[in-house]
Amino acid sequence: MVKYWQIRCLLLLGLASSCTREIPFAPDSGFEPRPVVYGFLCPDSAIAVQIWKTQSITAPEATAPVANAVVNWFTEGSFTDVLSGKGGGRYASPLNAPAPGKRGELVVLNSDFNFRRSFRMPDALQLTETDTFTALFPPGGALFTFRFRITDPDSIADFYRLYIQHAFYAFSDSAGIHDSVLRSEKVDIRAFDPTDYAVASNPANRLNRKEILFPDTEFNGGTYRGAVGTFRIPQAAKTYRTITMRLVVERCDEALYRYYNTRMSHLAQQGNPAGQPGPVSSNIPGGFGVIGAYTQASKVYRWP
Amino acid sequence: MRYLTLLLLFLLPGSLRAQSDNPWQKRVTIRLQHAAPAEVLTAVEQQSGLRFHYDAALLNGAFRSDFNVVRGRFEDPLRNYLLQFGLTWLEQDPYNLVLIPQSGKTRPGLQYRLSGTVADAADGEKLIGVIVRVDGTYRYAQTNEQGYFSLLLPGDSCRVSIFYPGFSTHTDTLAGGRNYLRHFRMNSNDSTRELEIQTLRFIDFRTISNGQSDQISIGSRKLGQLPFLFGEPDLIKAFMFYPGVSGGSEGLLGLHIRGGSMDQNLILLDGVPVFNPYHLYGIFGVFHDDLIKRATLSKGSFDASKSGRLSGVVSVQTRDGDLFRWKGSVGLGTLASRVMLEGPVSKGKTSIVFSARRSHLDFMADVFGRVTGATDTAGANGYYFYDATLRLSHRFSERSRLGFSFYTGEDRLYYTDYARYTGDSVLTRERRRQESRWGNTLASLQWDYHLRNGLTLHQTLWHSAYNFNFEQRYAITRDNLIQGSRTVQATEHDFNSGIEQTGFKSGLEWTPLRSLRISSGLNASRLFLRPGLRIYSNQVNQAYSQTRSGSEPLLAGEFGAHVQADYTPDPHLRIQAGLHQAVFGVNDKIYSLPQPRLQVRWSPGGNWWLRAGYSRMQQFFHLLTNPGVGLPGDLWVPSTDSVKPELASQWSGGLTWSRGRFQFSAEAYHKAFSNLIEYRDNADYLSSAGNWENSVTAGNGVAHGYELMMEKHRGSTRGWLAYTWSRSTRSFAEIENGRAFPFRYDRRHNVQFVCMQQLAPGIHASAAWTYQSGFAVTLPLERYPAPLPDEPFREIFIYGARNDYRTPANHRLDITVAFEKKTGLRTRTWTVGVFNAYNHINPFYLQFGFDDAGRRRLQAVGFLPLLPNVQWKMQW
Repeated sequence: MVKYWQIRCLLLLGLASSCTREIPFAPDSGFEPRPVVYGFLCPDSAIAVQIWKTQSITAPEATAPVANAVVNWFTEGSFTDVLSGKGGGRYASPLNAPAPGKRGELVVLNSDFNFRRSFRMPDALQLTETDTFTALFPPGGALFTFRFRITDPDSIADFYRLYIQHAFYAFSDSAGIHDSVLRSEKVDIRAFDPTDYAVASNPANRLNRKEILFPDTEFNGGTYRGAVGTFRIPQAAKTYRTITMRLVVERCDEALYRYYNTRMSHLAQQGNPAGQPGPVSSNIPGGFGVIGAYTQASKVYRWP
Repeated sequence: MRYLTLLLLFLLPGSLRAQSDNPWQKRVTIRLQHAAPAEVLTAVEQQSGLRFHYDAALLNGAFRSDFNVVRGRFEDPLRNYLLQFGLTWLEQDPYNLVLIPQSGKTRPGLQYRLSGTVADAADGEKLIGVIVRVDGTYRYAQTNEQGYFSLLLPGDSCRVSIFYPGFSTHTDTLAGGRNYLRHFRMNSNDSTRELEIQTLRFIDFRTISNGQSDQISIGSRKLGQLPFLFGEPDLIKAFMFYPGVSGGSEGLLGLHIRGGSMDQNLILLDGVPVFNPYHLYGIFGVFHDDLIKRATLSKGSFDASKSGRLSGVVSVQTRDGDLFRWKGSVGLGTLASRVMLEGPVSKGKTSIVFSARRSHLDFMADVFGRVTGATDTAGANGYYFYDATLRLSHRFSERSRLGFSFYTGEDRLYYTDYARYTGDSVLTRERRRQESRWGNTLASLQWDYHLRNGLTLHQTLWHSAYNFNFEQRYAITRDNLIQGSRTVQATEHDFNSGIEQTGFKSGLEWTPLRSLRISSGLNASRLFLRPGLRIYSNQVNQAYSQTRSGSEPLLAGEFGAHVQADYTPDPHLRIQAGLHQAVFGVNDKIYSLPQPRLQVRWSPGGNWWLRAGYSRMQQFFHLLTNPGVGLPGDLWVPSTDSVKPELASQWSGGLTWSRGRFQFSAEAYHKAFSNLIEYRDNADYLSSAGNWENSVTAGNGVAHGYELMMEKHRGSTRGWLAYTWSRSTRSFAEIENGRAFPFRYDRRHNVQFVCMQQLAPGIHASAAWTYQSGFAVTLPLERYPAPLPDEPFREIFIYGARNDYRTPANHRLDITVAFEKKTGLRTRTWTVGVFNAYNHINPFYLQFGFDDAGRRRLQAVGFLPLLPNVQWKMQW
């Protein structure tokens, strides 16, 4: 009887393992590389741009960087600097991006493409009441909560990205004390009402669920509680100690917000046989990528 | 005496000559089976010397029948034969006859009616689709889904014939001059020859009377003969062997009819809608073949009583159960086991039929796991499905019947895990459980009342529900063995979605004129939709908190009324015209649109029928499914303020021709969809329960195609060859700027070849070869990096036009052989078969792999290779 089942199951497994076959696919004909440009500009960091060209899906080579571009930087309409090539398609200036509220413009020139992209640096971000922090240990995982308030009545068209940049914790079990990177299952924002209703969450981002994107029309002026939950704790853990977490909130322009949103959804659907990945938003004419600006605030929490 | 002898000698030769010259006195032998009247007359002319003169129009469209005279006089047989067509003759002279219509004695203005039921004499089961015909005329009626018929008589005495495949023809003579209420019982006939003749008669008459090539009917007998995956007879898959019907990805049902999506089909079990007619993620259907009396699929010309879906109507009627004796069956198969029991609760009055089925994949996996050591004894995981059907039928009288049907079925996928360990004097117990359950529950109460004046009333109270539940549980208990204290912590995550519909419908059928039949009805239903509710619960000792998210339940109502006239002014023309008006209300929003139906069938003669039809259908709730495969967690969502009801208008036409053992049909259709909904680009189908209206966009679609079918329906070898050419596109303003793109299951070519062969008495084999063009997918053509400070190495794919690439074509051969042995009242059947006999890997989805050079290669992934099956069944 035992042999019968084993033989039968092995037979089925053998057949099932042969259920993949290669099929012809040649998309390279007529392929013409297109520009890919990224510029994430923040007042606290140097102006930098990365330029590549797209690559065929079947090509084994990595995406080719563009080395011969000229990138000019203008602040408030005045020429300010030429970004120098740093190799690997990266161009940078020693100058930092303009202060919040100022306008900037990037002009990219190349033999194949050229374009200009102007933008306004978002206003500075103030996080308040971010000092409240608790950590609960419900079964199956730890739940960390923090409180924050965003008040910006003058620019409700702004967009936000909130994420846990890094988090560490230590736990002890019978084998001793261990340090570990917190593997967050998800972050969401909850209202302070009796139902503890999650008013924003980011379930689509299965790749990075420590991140949440939202426009300030949803939260402006309110006080909300963020929650970071994880179910991935060791079963035998007895105590938890020394939890460190860095919370980052970005205020970004609309182009960047759309890029974050569509990129997140695209990556979540990529490789899913039942999914239908859509295009990722771009503000590069005739190409891909994004040039956008953001300001950010962060807070480091330690517990206890 | 001498003179007398001389006189006799003189007269005898003349007498003998006169006798031999009189054609009426000739003894002839004519054996003609299934002959046209002209053939019969020619044969009589050749053997008798008579000459018939007639207008050919008198015999136009006359059906074929048998004419047999063996060494006998032919006058009476010929007179009876011609009487069938309402003909007789006038003698111009002894050798020349003129055919004329028979002069009836009908009293003008008076019409009499024959109405009643037709049932199987063996078990009292009402038969559907039986032809009841007045001999010699085209007056006929077909029994409806309740087994009732109503037929207007010519007024004078007449003979009626009742025929149905598998049963001996039943005839009855009616004196005329009054109304009749008769309940006929037909005897089944297993004689192959007789069966063939009956089948032929039935098909010919059905073709002549209907010519409806856009409908497919399947009974349990045919269903049991077709080859299926794991040998499990499957009604939904059986329909895929016919033109105009295709499946989803390999192995999945996902019935797609004439370019429609799988939620656009109204699946009715005894008149009650089934929201999810699939088990095992769509691999198997929910209908038991043992219980099916008749199943019909309508692809184009919809009956006015049917509404609510755009593309197809599948109506399944279950058996009432044997009224006279108990019988049953037990079956063991590769996938599932089943039991069926039926019999009289009160002999001749009340019957019951019960059937249940359960898969045993979980048992097999468990045994496999234990044998190989793969199963952790501290937990369990597995999958199974079950379904059960109960039907009770009570006859108050032959005119009044009450029926109760109940169906429940469920799929369950589960995982449990237990852990128990002790450390530092603390006993810790952990329990994890994850479970998905989904299934349908249906119940209906039907009352049919057959009035004496040809009116038939049907009243149905029904309820249908589909639920999907997902549960995640985790609990940990710590007992301090020293202090005697206990801490309990638990988290729970529940997701629930579903749809419930409760309704009442009332129908009336009436035959006011010989050529006119009218049906009408009303229906009202209440819908309760749960597009998705998530509940998170936390418990720490006595403290408990709960979080809810998702869409709130929606309440909606639907009201409908329909009327349909079936007009047959002459034997060559049939017109069906109907109107269905549905009103749907949700969130103070009312939608209403008339849905006209029209079908005209006309025969130019010679067993040719032409058909043309138009129908408009409206759909008020939709299955919000991901672009790829249907999953049990897909959401049923209603039309709302912002999401309008879906609409489809279909024009179709076709022709049917039958000759001898063969029947040929051709169909063409054009269908226009509007207000279709589809997920927006990048919408997340797994988590859009809370804001599904924001995740979808509306657009239009067009489908057209041609269907051809050649069927051989008698003889020891039967089967058909079907071919479909079709095209189906969609366009959405918010997707690719409104560019029309192929529907995912737009399959250009579709070929089915089915062959059923009686190898020997008790041995039956069948084979089916299917070919389908590949389905449409969207593939990436380019890639580029998409860095973020915390995610520097991600790549974005640039996809080509939506659904611009085709997967390789699907094709496979399925074979099954059944060995049947009768012992007394018991019949034992062994069925062995093989699915995908030549092990062709048909793609379920496509993925990219890498070759040794790091180059991406496209791969087709299938999951149904060659799969043998064996099934044992015992009936008594």
